Amino acid sequence: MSLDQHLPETLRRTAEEHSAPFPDLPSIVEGGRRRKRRRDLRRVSVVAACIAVVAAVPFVVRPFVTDSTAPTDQLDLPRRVEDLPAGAVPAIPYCPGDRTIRGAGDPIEAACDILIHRGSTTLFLDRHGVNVLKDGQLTLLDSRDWSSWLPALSHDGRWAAWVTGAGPGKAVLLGFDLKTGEQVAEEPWPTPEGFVQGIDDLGRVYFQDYAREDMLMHDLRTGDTLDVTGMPEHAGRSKYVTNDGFAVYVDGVGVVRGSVTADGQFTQQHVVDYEWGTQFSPDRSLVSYERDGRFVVGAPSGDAPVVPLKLPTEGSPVWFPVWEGPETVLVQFDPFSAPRPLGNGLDVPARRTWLLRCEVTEGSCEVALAPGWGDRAAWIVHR
Amino acid sequence: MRDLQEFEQYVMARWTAFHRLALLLTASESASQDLVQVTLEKAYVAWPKISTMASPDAYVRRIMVNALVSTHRLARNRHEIASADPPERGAPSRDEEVLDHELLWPLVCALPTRQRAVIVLRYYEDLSEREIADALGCAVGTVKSTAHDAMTALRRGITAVRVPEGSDR
Repeated sequence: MSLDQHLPETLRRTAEEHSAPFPDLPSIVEGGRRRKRRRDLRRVSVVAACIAVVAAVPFVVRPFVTDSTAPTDQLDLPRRVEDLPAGAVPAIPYCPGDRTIRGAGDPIEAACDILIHRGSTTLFLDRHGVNVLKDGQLTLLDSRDWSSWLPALSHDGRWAAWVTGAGPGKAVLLGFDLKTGEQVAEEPWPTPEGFVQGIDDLGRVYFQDYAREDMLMHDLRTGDTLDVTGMPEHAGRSKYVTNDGFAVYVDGVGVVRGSVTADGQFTQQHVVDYEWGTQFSPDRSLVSYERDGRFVVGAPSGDAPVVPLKLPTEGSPVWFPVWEGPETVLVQFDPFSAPRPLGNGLDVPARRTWLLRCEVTEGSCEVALAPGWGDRAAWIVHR
Repeated sequence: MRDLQEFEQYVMARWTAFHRLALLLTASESASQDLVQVTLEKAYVAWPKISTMASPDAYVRRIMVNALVSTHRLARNRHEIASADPPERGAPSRDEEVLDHELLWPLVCALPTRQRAVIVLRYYEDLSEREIADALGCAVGTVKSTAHDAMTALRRGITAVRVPEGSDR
């Protein structure tokens, strides 16, 4: 037997040999109540601190604490994906299912693979490396493997960055200015253990370091690399990058969004209500995210009510919405998967999935591509 | 009140499973009880959200793994060494099957926290790399490299006990 075969049996037997003590439910509930009280107090204190900051600075930062999503049972949701009307093909690069990529000028001959679209830019990731799609051409940016997670694009699509190389001393941060087509960074990097969370509008790359549980910032304009400091106490992993900073999960508080100063200080902190799968629209005026198992779109400030996307009740999205333009998002949707919390992506054959377009003012959806478009891709295509 | 009843019913129904998972993750009887307690206290706070989920176990598992990793990180930041209970048993005699579970479990116990978590989630909970990445809050690539490191360490440990001290090999 191989080690792979021994491990399940060993772990199962070890677990079953130990009998669990009887649960002390009152203690658990009381502990939970204490935690809830502490969390509520922290939220109040963070909001109060935020209000103090608002009073002290000339621009407004308001906590996002609305709860204005219409209940699911009050929405008029389609049951089956086949019930949706047919719409136009995507306005961004896509796979039509004939081993070409369309939507970026003349058709490009290539098997369907991973497409990352932000703003006006689409990266195409295949076995040859990281490419940019433009004017009917694939332009290879770099042929090395990205180290642990996909390359990142800034919200407007101008900047791209990722880490390549595995092992100590071999990691390198790569950065590109896609407006000029120039490579602007090839920096020796402390570790491949982590990933580029995103790039803000100022061209600052945020790298979540798993080994040190810290955030590194690299400025693609100046070439400086800094540790981000001033993070909230009990801060965990970062969640997403904003126009001028990022958001981080704070134990007992929730998601705290902040700006990052030129010297790497995490400032202007305030609690926000969006976490999973947060994607900003190309002009950052809107944000899509997951709330209570449903995708919604709202204003980053939380001022306006959020709009739930009216996706079919039978089936599940396989990944988060991708902004197609200022008012529409695309959602890759699998009718054969059970609805589930959307934190997990689903690796299902792309060929059986639908590509849906939802407009974000009413939330209504239509079909952009019916099954068959995904060639042989067995993974999430639109990221 | 109904929420509380549902929460208590859920805890009772899943108690043994969570306790076993915590035991494997912590490699310690006492630490596992603490981990389950903290996990379920946090689950209580988030219960209004968890109770509507199609897969509440996955969310609670994520709380547990996060609590495990944060506890480990806090201990490391205080320059303490997180220690598991010592394995109940050392290396087997030469006559025993090298890969029996009484040998393998101590090797799993000796893995760093994150590596052990990946091994337990993969081989006990039977999660995919994607699901493990979600539970750990990391990228799939990181899960792959962590699993690779863990398996390498386990194989190295197995090789070490297969070649006892004083052997010519």
